[in-house]
Amino acid sequence: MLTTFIPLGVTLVAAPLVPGLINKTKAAFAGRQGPPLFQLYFDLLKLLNKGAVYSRVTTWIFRAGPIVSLASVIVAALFVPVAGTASLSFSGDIIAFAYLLGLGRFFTVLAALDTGSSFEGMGASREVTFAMFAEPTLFIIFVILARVTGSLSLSSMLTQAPLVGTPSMAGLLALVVFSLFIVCLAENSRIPVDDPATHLELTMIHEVMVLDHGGPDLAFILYGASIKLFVMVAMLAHLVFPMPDGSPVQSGLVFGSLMALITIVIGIVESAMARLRMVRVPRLLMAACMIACFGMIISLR
Amino acid sequence: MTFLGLSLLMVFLGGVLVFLPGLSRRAASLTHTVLVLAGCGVGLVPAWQALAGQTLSSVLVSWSVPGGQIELGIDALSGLFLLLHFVVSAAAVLFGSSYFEPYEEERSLKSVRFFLSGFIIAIALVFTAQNAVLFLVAWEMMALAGFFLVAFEGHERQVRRAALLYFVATHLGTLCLFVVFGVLGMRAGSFAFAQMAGHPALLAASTPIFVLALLGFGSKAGFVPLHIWLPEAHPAAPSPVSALMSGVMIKTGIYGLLRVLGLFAQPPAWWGLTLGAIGMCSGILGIVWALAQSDVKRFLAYSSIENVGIITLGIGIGYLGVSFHNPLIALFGLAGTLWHVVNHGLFKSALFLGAGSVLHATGSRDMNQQGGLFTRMPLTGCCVLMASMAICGLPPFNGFISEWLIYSGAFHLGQRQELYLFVGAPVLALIGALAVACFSNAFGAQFLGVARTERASAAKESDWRMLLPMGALTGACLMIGLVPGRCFPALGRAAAAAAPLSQMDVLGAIGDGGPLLSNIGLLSGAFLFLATFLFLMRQGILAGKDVAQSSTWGCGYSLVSARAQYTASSFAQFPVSLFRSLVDRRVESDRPKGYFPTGARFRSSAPDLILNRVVSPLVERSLAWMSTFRRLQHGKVQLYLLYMFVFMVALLFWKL
Amino acid sequence: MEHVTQLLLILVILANLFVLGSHPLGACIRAVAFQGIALGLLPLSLHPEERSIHLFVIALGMVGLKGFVIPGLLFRAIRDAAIRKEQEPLIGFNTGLFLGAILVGLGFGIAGKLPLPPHTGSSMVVPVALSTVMMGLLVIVTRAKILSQALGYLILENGIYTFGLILAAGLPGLIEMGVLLDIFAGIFIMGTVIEHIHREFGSISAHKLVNLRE
Repeated sequence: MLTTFIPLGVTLVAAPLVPGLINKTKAAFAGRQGPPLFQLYFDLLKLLNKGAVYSRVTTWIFRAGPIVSLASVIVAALFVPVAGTASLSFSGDIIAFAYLLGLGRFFTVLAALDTGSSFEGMGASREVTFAMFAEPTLFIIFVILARVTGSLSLSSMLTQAPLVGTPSMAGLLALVVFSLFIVCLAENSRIPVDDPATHLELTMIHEVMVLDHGGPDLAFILYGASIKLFVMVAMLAHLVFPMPDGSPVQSGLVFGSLMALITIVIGIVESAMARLRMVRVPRLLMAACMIACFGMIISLR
Repeated sequence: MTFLGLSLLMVFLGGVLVFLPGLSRRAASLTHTVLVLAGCGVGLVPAWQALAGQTLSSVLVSWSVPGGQIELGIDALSGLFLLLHFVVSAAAVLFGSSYFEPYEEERSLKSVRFFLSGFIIAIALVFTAQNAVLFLVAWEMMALAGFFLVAFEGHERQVRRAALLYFVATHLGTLCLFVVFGVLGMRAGSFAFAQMAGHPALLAASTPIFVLALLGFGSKAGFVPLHIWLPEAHPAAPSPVSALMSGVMIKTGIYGLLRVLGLFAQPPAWWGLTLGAIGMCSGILGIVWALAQSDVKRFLAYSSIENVGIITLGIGIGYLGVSFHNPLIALFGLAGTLWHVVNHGLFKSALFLGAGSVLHATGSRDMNQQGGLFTRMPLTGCCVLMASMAICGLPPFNGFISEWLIYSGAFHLGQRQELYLFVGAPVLALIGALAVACFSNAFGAQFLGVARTERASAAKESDWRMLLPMGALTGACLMIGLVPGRCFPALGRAAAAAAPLSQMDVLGAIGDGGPLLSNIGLLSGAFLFLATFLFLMRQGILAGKDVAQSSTWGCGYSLVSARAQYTASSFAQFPVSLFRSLVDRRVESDRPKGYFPTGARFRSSAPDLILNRVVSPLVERSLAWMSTFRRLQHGKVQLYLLYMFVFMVALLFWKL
Repeated sequence: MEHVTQLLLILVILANLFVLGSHPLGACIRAVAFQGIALGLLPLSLHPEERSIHLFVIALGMVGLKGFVIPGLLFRAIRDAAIRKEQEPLIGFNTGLFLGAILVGLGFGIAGKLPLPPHTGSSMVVPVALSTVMMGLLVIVTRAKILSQALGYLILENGIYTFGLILAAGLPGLIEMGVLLDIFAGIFIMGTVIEHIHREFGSISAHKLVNLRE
């Protein structure tokens, strides 16, 4: 019974490492030493020990926002495999996965609107706009994987057709991985869609929505964001490389190194690219969507 | 069936007794409310029995109308729609008893109560009629009662125009239905649905029947581009009536479509494809248009078009499943559709009632004029929040369950060989993402932030007669979301009644689907549990700490004026700009000029694209063309007689 | 070699989508050059059994011509005419991308219905060729600047070339040479014309050409 929750436990414990590794990579490219790998853990502990300041304008929705978004992302993480196995899976859980992420987004947006600040309203508007492109793309990817693997559960979809190891569909899966990578960047507010390092410009999305949160609320938000990032990177990891059948140690090692590799790639992308102008972001996401469509078309061959 | 008769009788009495002379206003209102509520309560019994799998014998009364018989019967399909109808009607009438009170000062409400009762009875008859003639009569009654209800505030020009548009649209639809049922009755030799079902003579006329049924029922349900009356009529009608119209009346179109198409044993695959395509168009266009609105009831009307789109997509998937002999797809599609019909009825009527409650409190439907209502109307706010989450299809509410079923059907279809079948799931995802944008915007603009006007800051919470119906409807939404596995067998029976599926297949597919839905219920439970846990954890952390109140930080700009907040229109501007070719967005603005600008103004609106760009020009042009015939119409009696004479001679020549 | 072929063809389509969806002219020219290189290598992966010197020469020539010479000419035209490196499509980029994806679907749909000889190398060659031709046309139709239209012609030609590849390895050489010569001359002439037009009107938008009538 308890063993089934090991994947979820790994996700919950290891998630804050991913942003740490990205920051380390970026620092290396900039010729800096950068914050330690475990910085986010320290941040979370510090934030949890703080009090909170609430705007007089806000209602309980503002306080519920971080809780609901963290709870929904944790429940969504149940379905995502870690080293080949997920805590929970049933036919059709992909829909639940996507909609739980949507639930988190809904409450983050409402919490942002609750402050009455036009900055946060602006961020909220952008967040929902980019989701309009990211979600259909995610579902096209799911349909392709459902066709290829014949399954409707996230864990078996992701584990049954890795890019390395299925040469007959290498081209198709490369397209899938590419568009999922862009969706991952968009959903997690990374460069070139959004810049996680700053929130003071008018051009920001996610960071500006959570401007008014502080203390434990901010800790929940940061932790939830890191879990979401971990989950998406784990999805990519399974799509790229097959997990070995052998001992859990072996597959754990493979999984860990893959996670590190993809995280470093994200870091490299962030170091090498500038954030796109806001009006061009839809075009990038549209391109990802059309590439996924193209993948759908060739999956018929 | 006695229960149904009793129920309709009570509703009827409720509508008629208000005309008793000497009845005080208060007593009339009480009589009407109590009798209709009791009638709806009694009506739930047969609906529930039919859903539970009991077959109810039908009533037969002979009728002097040729071909017509008063034949009422309830199968699982009727039962489902009837259940929804009575629940929503009860909620709307209870809400109305409070909502209409301010109007009572200036006018008599007897006629409204009468037509409200008539409307409820007519819809119930539509759902239970087993004879085409009776069906059409009930359909007309419904249309007429609906017209009088929409024209409640007929002294306003806008309302009169909306009512007239509704009247014309509904009758154009009915015209198609006359042909449909005429052809069906002629071919089958009887107007009873039971005799028509599976009649071999129908096959030859299946295509025209399908097309005409699509036009006739589609104009009632609001398929794009037949939806034009909907965004005009819903805002014009009083809120409880809008709730009833959007929650139930437009579903009569779906019901009729399922009834008529269900008469054919083997639907061809192109029916399913057509329905799916219509559903996707209505869904995407409806929600994109909704996003551009700032009148909350207009916005909800467009969202109804979107949901009808989802429902139709579900029908399409179900019918494709039937055509491909795949019971699982058929059941997922049709059960998802029917469930979405019920769910949409529940949360959309809750949202309309919520809009009514806000309108009652602030006197405005413009979302840009509200703000900060959550602190002043917390209970209305909670209901609207829950209904908004449900309509976005977010767990743990009921909308997620029905969308999950339709998604599953779409995914199973996507695994087939044909390329075009894959689009269902991504299109649903697009609609879902847009719905989240729409409803977070609508809720945020009205209830969150700071009040933008005096009236909004002086709003007061509505009384219990308004809150109870909203609370009950949203409570039902949450309940269905938490125990979907329990409801599934009943939905499966209704789906089996809606389509030619063999009973064995359905039972097998229900067996496959039930446990999956229970999983989702568990998942929702787990989410609620986790959220509670995190809440308690946060409380524990903050227990001994400093929790301070301050103003919103906002990057150092403290809020200068409440009007500087992001409004509904500004929130929607970016996403709508991406769909600019699909939206007829009009902007009037005076930009600030010079170094010391005095005044500036900005107003944006999005009138209906089809009505303003297609229908109106077409009508105008045809009117201009017709006016040439006006020369024949000059008022001279002798010339009229001449026309008749010429016509008769021509007729003689033609026939001889 | 089937996988390599597929990968090359996917790259061809991606280059098309890139041209439809991106702003800077230079990047688009590079994408088409990249497409040219992929197409130049295609004969080698498509006909692995007949790797003659002849085939290698053709491949090398194609890579050189499509990947380097023609793009070089286009870049020179940009430099000479001092064109602003932004494109102004008549339809939005998002719409362009969407139409592009539809054309890919259409190409695959039509290819499924064509009566083709059973053995045509890879199953994806014909559909990719068809959709490349159509996307080239789309670029020509929707772009205002002559240089962008020239890119469209290049894509179109690449599509026709891909079509030619279905046939035997040696045959397309002749046809290809003819077509390529046309394009080459076309681009050459266009370059000169662009320069003249630019000198005359101070702009190279095709809209201005309307002024020339009567």
